[in-house]
Amino acid sequence: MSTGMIDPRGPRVGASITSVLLAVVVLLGQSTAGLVLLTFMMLSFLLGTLRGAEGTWQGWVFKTFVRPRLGPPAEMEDRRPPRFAQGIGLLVTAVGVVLGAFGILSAVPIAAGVAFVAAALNAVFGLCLGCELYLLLRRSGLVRA
Amino acid sequence: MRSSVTGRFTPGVTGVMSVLIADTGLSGGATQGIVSRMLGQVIALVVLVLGTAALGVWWSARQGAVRAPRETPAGIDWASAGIALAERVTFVQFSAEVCAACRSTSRVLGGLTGGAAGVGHREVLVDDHLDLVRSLGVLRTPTVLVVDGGGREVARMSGVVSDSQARQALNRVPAATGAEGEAQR
Repeated sequence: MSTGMIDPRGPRVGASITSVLLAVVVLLGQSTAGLVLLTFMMLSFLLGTLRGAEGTWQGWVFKTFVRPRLGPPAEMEDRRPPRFAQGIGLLVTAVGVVLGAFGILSAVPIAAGVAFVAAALNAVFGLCLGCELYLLLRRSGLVRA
Repeated sequence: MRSSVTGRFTPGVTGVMSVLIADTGLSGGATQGIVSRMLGQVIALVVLVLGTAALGVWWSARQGAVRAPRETPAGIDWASAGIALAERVTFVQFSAEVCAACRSTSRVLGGLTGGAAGVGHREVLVDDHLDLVRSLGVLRTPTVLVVDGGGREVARMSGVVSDSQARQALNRVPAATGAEGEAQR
């Protein structure tokens, strides 16, 4: 994983946009429309997993429309935890999309709901799932330094 | 219910009424079906939002909160782990390289210990001390153990630690050190 520092407000603004869209998926319920939007969200998470949170379209929205209106950040953040969070989002939404594609449409709002919790906690409270889980994963030996 | 109501009307009216009822019942049922399905989703979202908010408030309240020490296994050899304890009290901070909360906590604790004699701050990376992390029951970064001069844990905090929380933890250290913590204010 390549290292580097990013503006920590970027992933949080991105998570705000993401949680609103995931809330819409929950509202769409067990429908094809919900499946389509969840698939779109999954692809966004795929982009974030491959390129980092700053490389998503939400990151682009932040850089283009939000950051110019803000002062410089108090401090920068390592880009790896937000990228890890994108991977978690990819995993959760992919389960919903795959099950939904096989006709189990109830999985669509459920997966969106789970992803919503993580995204909203990040956006509103600054909870970083990657940071919370890192040590647990290290302790269990699932992740190496 | 419907039959008892319609039963009072003449057959002609009853016929019209029953058609009307059946008709509204049908279309109303379809509309109601959509509304109630949407309602279910709206309720699901409201529950989800409230649950998330509760979780977030709980998580925020825990950040840096001074907690009682865990049952520290006896005879932790801090020195052999490369952690030199200060004379009276040491903040032993477990951090991860990528953890932003660890950096701000480190700044707070570093600032606090700078002016106080006998108070130390040692920051270690969890990756270098996985054994210690396991035996001390450290689950997340940053976790700060407040260790007295004898190597005994007197309090612990996890998550971002604020200046006032760190001072509060210092006050947990008995006797002279506690008074010292008060005097610093």
